[in-house]
Amino acid sequence: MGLSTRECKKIVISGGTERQKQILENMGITCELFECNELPDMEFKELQNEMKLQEIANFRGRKAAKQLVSRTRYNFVIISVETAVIFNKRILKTPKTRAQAVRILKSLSGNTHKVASGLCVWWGQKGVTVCDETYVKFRELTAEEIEHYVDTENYSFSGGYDILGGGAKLIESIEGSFWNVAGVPVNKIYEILDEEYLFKLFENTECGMWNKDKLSDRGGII
Amino acid sequence: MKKLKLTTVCSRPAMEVLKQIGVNFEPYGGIIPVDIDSDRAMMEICNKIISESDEKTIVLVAETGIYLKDERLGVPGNKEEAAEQLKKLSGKTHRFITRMCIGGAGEPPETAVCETKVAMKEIKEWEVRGYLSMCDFRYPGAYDLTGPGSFFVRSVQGDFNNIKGMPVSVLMELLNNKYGISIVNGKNIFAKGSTEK
Repeated sequence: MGLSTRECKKIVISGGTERQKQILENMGITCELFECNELPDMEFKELQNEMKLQEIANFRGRKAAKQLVSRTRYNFVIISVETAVIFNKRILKTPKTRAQAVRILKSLSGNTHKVASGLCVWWGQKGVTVCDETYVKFRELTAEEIEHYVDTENYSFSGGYDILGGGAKLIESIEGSFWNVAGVPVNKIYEILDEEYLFKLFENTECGMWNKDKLSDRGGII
Repeated sequence: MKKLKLTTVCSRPAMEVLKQIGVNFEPYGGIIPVDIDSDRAMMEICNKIISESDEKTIVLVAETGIYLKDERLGVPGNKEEAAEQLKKLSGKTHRFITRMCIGGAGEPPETAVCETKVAMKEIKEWEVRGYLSMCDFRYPGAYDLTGPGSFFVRSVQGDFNNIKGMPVSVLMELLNNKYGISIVNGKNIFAKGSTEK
């Protein structure tokens, strides 16, 4: 038996960013941010890439669940996402300096890398953790292009690019979930709500999760 | 560098992509006399606008369609049509095909094509109903990747900006090969048009 409509208020993104919130809100999903920047304890560093991301997501999901569920029972669906670029079997960090950004973009140039997200969805007493993956292929970038790119674009993202921003100029093609690359694996979220929690988003059109004003008129294609 | 102007004929989402990648342009202000339903029609329009423009203008015409097998899906006019489209797309892979034509004074326009595949999950009856009861379906295929219709999208294969009508990868190749212009390289060489970024 799934969780009922009246118990569902909104999505809370644990350790989430303003950007992730915006993405969901543009899809008509109401959400809130729960601050949580901690990482799990030392042992998790031994984990392999995708498992590491899942562990981080799970940790943050659990933390938020402990705080929120006890107070408000089943009113929140907590999600947490940890996204990273994985290339040559390593997680690429977010470049902190221009030089790092240039180095990363050089290595990604002309190649295909993976963008993986650890995703945890927590509702009530139950948490489900999965991983979503998208392959991204970069064009061949000239040295000049890379230099100009880091001078004009924000490179504070894993892999040094933002698919929703200047990254569009670097990417030749993708394979997999588009929104996963942007940091919000919406398909998996939807799937988990549907299959694990038996909560049908499109059936529960009256639940607090939907912001109908955002949905009814998006301008169409015109 | 020669000051150039880019005049465009493309959809609103396509223009958003141009803005996102920092390309200045001016949407063509005149009337498009024919439906852009073939390469020939596209070149006709491109040539017409070129003849109306000065030598420093590059004209870009882009047109996107969504195809299921060989059937082209238009923008549904009402909920019933939208529901039918979603049922057709359910569980299958459809394609976005954008045809582009680019040219300027004194040269034959060049065309290019870009295809992106989108695989949809199985969409249930109640999902269609719920979706249409709330959402704006005025898009080809009744969905738009930036909206809740993306819950139905299982995966995208290819240039994702092609879905919005402006395949950046192809555009950049065209600009580079034809005019030696790289939009990542230097200052934005297209003059600011009436559309500010």
